Amino acid sequence: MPSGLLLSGLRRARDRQPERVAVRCGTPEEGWVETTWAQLYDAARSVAARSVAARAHATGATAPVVVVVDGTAESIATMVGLVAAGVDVLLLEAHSSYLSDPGSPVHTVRPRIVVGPPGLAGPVGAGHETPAGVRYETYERFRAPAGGDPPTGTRAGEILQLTSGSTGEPRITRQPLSHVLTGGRLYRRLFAITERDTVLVAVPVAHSYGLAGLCSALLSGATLVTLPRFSLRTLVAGLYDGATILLGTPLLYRLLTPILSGRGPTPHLRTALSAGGPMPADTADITAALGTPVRQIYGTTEAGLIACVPSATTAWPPGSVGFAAPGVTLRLDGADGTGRLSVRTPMMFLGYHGSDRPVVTPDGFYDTGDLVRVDPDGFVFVLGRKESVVNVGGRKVGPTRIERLLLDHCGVRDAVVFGVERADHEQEMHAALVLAPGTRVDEVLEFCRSQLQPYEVPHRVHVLDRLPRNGMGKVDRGQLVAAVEHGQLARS
Amino acid sequence: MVDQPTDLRTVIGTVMGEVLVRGPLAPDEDFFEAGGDSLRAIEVLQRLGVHEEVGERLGTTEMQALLLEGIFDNASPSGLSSFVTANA
Repeated sequence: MPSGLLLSGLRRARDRQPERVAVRCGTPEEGWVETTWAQLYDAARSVAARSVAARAHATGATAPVVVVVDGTAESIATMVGLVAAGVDVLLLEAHSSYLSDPGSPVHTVRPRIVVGPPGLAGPVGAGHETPAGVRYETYERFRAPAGGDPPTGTRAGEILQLTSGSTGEPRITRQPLSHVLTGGRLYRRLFAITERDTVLVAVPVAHSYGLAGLCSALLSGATLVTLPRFSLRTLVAGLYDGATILLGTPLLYRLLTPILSGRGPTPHLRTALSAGGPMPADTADITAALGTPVRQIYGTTEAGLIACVPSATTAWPPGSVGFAAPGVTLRLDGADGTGRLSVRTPMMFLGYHGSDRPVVTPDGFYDTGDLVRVDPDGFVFVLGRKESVVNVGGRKVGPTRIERLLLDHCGVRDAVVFGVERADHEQEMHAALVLAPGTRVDEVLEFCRSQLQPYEVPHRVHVLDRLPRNGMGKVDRGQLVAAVEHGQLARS
Repeated sequence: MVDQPTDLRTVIGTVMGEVLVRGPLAPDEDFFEAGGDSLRAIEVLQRLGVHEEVGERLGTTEMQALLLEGIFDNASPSGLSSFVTANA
C-alpha cells in the first residue's frame, strides 16, 4: 500500500487550511501550545525525509524505532513521518516504565533508536549510544535539515503497540498503518467528525483508543487537543474553550461530574466518548453535567474498534456499549445471545511481535476472551473482561510483570497481584506478599516506585505467611479478592 | 506571609504520606512525583474530607469539587493548602 497516506492527509489539510490549528497541547508550564497544519506537515515531512536518507545508508532490515508519543505535536509529527518513510514504530506513552525494565517486551524488538522529549536520554545525553547500543534522540534532533523530499513509493511502516497481557507478560501487537487509519476513518464517520470539530483526547494517544481519536482528527482536518500531563483544570478549560468531542474514561467522567455540575454544561461539547472500562449504571448526573450522554466504545488493541454508540443513535439501553461497528462481525460461543466473544474486524492486528503463531481462526476471528451479551436489537453488553488484568482508571495493567518486579526485591519471597473494586467502582491494584523477616512494606513500595509508573504500583499490600495455591501450584486470586472484600485481610 | 496555614499543610502532607504508605510529604514535595496517581489523589481528598481536624471544612461538596480540580496542579502539601486558603 502507498506509504504517504497519513502524511498526504496532513498535506491536504495543510493545503486547505495552513494557518488553522492542527494540534493544541495543554502543558502545565507554557499553557496551550498551538501548532498549525503547515507546521505539523513540515515537521512530519522533515522526519520522513531524514529517515529515508538514513535508510539509504543502512544495510539489511531496520529495527523498529521506539517513539514516545506524549501528545505533543512534535511527537505526533515524529510518528507520522517515520511510518511514512516505511519505518516500523513502537509507540510508548510518556514516562513509560518499559524502557528501563530490561525484562519488558520493548527490548525484544532490539530498538537502536528511541525518540522522545528532551531529558529522556538521561545522563547519556541525546545522540550518544548507551552501552546496550541504543541511541536516544529528541524530537527536535530527529529531523532533516530544511527542505527534504517527502518519501514516495515505499511501504508504510507498521504501528507496534504494547498490550497488557492477561495471562503473562505484556506483548507487542503489530498493526499495518492502513488498519490504524481505518480505525480513524470509522471514528470520523460514526461520530460525524469534520474540520469544524475540536477533538479533545484526554487519554494517552500512544494506546489504541487515543490513537484512533488522534487519527480521526488528523484525517478530518479537525483540531486535536491533547493533555501530555493530566490536569483536570486544563481539561475543564479545554472543554469550555470549544471542544466538540471528548475521548475519556469512566474515571475521567467521574472526576469531571462534580466540577462541571457547579458550572453548567460545556457550550460546544456534542459527543462524549468513554472506553477503558464499564460506565457506572446510573449516568444521569454525568449526562446532566456534560449536557450530553456518554457513549461507550468497546474495543481491544488487537482487534481495534468492536462496538460503539454512534452520534446518530439517540436512544440505547443503559450499560450497553452500542452495536457492532461497520465491518465487524461478532461470534458468541454460547446460546441465548450470551457467551465468550470472537470478532472479525477491518482493523485486525497482524500478530504479536516475535511470534509466528496465528492469532485468528482460519476464517479470521479473534478470541477476545471477554464475556458479552447481545440483545435482540443488536446492542452489546460487556459482562466480563479478561480476568486477571487490573484496570486502573482505564489503564490495563498485567499482573505478571508487576509480580516479576516485586520478586526482584530481595525481601519479597512470593507475590501475587490482583484487582479489587472500590466503593466508587474503580479498581485498585492489590498485592499479597510473603516477606522475608525484617522486610517492610514501605521499602517494597519504594522499590516499586523506583521502577514503575505510579498507576502500576500496588495501591494496597497484604502481608501473608503464605499465598493460597491450588493443587497445581497456581495462586487462587479469587480467594484473595473474596478475603479482601470480606475484610479478612489486613491492609497497609 | 499572612496566615500561612501551617497546620493544614502538615495534615495534607501526613494524609498524602499515608496514602502512599510512607512518611509525611515535605511541604514542597509533589504528590504525583512521589508516586501519586489519579486514584490515590481521590483517596487523599476523601481522607481529608473525613479528617477529624479539617474534615468539616474540606468535606463539603463544593470544597471537594474545588480540591479535585486543584490537586492536579497544586500537588504539594503547601500548594494544596494555599489553594484551599485562596479559594475558601
